[in-house]
Amino acid sequence: MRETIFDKNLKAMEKWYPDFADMIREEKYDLDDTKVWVEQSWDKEKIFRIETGGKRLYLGGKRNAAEPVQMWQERLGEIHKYAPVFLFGIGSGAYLKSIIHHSPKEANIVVYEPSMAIFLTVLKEIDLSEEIKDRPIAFVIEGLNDVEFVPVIQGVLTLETLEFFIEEVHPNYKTAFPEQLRERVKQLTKHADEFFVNFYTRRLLQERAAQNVLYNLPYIAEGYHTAQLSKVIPYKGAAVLISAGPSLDKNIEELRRAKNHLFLIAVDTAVKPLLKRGILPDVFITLDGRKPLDLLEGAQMLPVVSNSVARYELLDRQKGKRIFFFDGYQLPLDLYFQNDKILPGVAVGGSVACSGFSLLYKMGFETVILVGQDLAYTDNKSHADGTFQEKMPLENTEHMIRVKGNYQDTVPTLTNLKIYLDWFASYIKGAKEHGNFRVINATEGGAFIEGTELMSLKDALDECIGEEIDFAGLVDTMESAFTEEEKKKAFDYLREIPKQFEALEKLAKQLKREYQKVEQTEKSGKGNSKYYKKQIEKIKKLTEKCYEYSGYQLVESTLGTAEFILQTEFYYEKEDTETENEILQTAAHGITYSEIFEDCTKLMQDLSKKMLARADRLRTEGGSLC
Amino acid sequence: MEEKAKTLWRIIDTICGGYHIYKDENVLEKAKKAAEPIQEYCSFFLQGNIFGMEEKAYQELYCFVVQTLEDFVEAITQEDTILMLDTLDYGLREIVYIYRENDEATA
Repeated sequence: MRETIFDKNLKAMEKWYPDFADMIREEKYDLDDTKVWVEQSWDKEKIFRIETGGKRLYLGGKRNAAEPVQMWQERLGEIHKYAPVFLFGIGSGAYLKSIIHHSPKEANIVVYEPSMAIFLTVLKEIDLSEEIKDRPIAFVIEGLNDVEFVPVIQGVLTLETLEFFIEEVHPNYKTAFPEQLRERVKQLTKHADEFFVNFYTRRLLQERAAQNVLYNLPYIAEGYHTAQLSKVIPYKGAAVLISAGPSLDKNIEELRRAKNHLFLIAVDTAVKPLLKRGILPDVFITLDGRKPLDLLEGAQMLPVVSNSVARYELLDRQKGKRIFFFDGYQLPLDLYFQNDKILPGVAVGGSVACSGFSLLYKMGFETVILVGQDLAYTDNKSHADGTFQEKMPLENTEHMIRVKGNYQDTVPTLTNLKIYLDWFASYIKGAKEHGNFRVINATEGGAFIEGTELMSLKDALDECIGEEIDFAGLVDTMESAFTEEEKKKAFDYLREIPKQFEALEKLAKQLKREYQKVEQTEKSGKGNSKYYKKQIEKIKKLTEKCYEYSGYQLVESTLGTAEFILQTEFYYEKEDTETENEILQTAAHGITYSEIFEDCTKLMQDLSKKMLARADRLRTEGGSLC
Repeated sequence: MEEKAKTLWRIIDTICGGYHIYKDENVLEKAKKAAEPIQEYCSFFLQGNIFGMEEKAYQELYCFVVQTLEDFVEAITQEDTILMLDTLDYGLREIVYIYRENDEATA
């Protein structure tokens, strides 16, 4: 009997995904009610026409089916060898065939199809066997294996391949399957955005992260944290979060009225314009390890809420209290663990305002008034006047995405600001589910944040201002979470930190030796799988040993950038070396990594010794290290 | 007619080129706005064989124009982007080319 197209397709597919092919053979799927007709275009191509949601739609050109696919392929341009390609909608199969033919075999192609009926028609009518027999194309089909969608994204989108990422929706699918497409594209975009923002934010903060964390440790050992701050602020009515968005210019003067009535917390960039007008926030918050110091000129007397990775030179200058929260670094936490205590955390949403907002919620305020929280380029400006420049310049916002505005239909914004915007909406939603929590957005411009009430600052203050309270005075009364004895214990722990990096240096050297052994054995031709298995075990144990030291986190975060450079170079240059011996390549990478690791431990030893000198000065002289 | 052909040619380029080159998906809205000049231009071919063509050739042209107009309406009714692009690029463009050709020849 002649083999059908369906049999050929499944046979080609099962080489890569036998279970997937079996599920189709055994009809373990939910068939949707999309009707599919197969027609022939005027240029003799097989095309589908479908009926769904009351609409009849072509999935290929009636007169000319081939040329639009060629033009699409031209628009995509050259596809990188390691590109993750997401095709939403298989259509009549033409776009998929084209991309398989025009991409290197290493490129990961993922096809999401919202209709099982269309997918079955493709399997029966379009011979894809030649294209898929040598390529593991990932098919995610609604009603068949849709639960695989997120795991597939996570598997395919990696740090190294992110910049080559391609996402294409088959023509007419947005009309045919709007809900499914929206949901899936949202999941994909969310994953890609988070990856992108987390990575670049982390990289930005990491540039000086290790030095900042180490140098700030003596301050953290003094024992001031955000839960202690919360204890001295009894009033839990309303607080104001002042951000540095361009709309701050419109109502900054009004804030004067809130002083000593509502708790005022400013993000670091907003401090300068506030001080210029003589408005002193009760505290300011900072996160950025590279914050320009001149933005906080004159703010030395103010208390600062900070993470451990904030710029140490900034904290050095502060005469006011330095109040910390947990930001994921282990060494600061260890100082508290020594005393059976914990360093409380606040949520991180990518921007300093997100953490400020979370802090106010955690402090128990029932109402938060947002000011200058534009999350957009209101009036084509990035920040309020008097922040980075006296008069902030107008920016070209034509290329920016647009989101719903507070007082305009739409406002221009950037992808990272949009992510912060979504963070605020989701945090507010969660907070409201847990009890009474009100957010008044008194930003007189900017992007609309779901879950907020729009109000002018004047009206918000009229409603919320109560009795006079000296919040700054209350912050001054804040006590350390440590007794003198506990402080001593924390400072004693600091003295042990350089030893951690000495131990890690030894481990780096051992790691290098093990990789060198692998290289030599492979070159001599004496290697066998038993030997390599043993070596892998040794290397694994050494790596696990590194994690026993809290300081390794700082080495790792510093190496993160180096590792990224190594890996990206590897992906860019692999074309010339792909035929090389994989064991030798792994060994070479291992040796390079161990060498950088070793250098890094030496750098950390140096920094941690300097940190000890800072700690001694702080213990003997007190106050600040400036 | 040459002027109308020139305008329609530009409209087709904007809509189809915009989609294929710049991923501008606003095809149906733009096409709706162009419905009047398209209908006006196509109607000219449906008023009878005033072109001195052989009757069979004219019938073919007549059917081609009618089919193009039907597909244009169908694409709008069904919100079918693929059909609209196909109708504009490979249907209407052929009809527009009749006068565009004359225009090019006399240019």
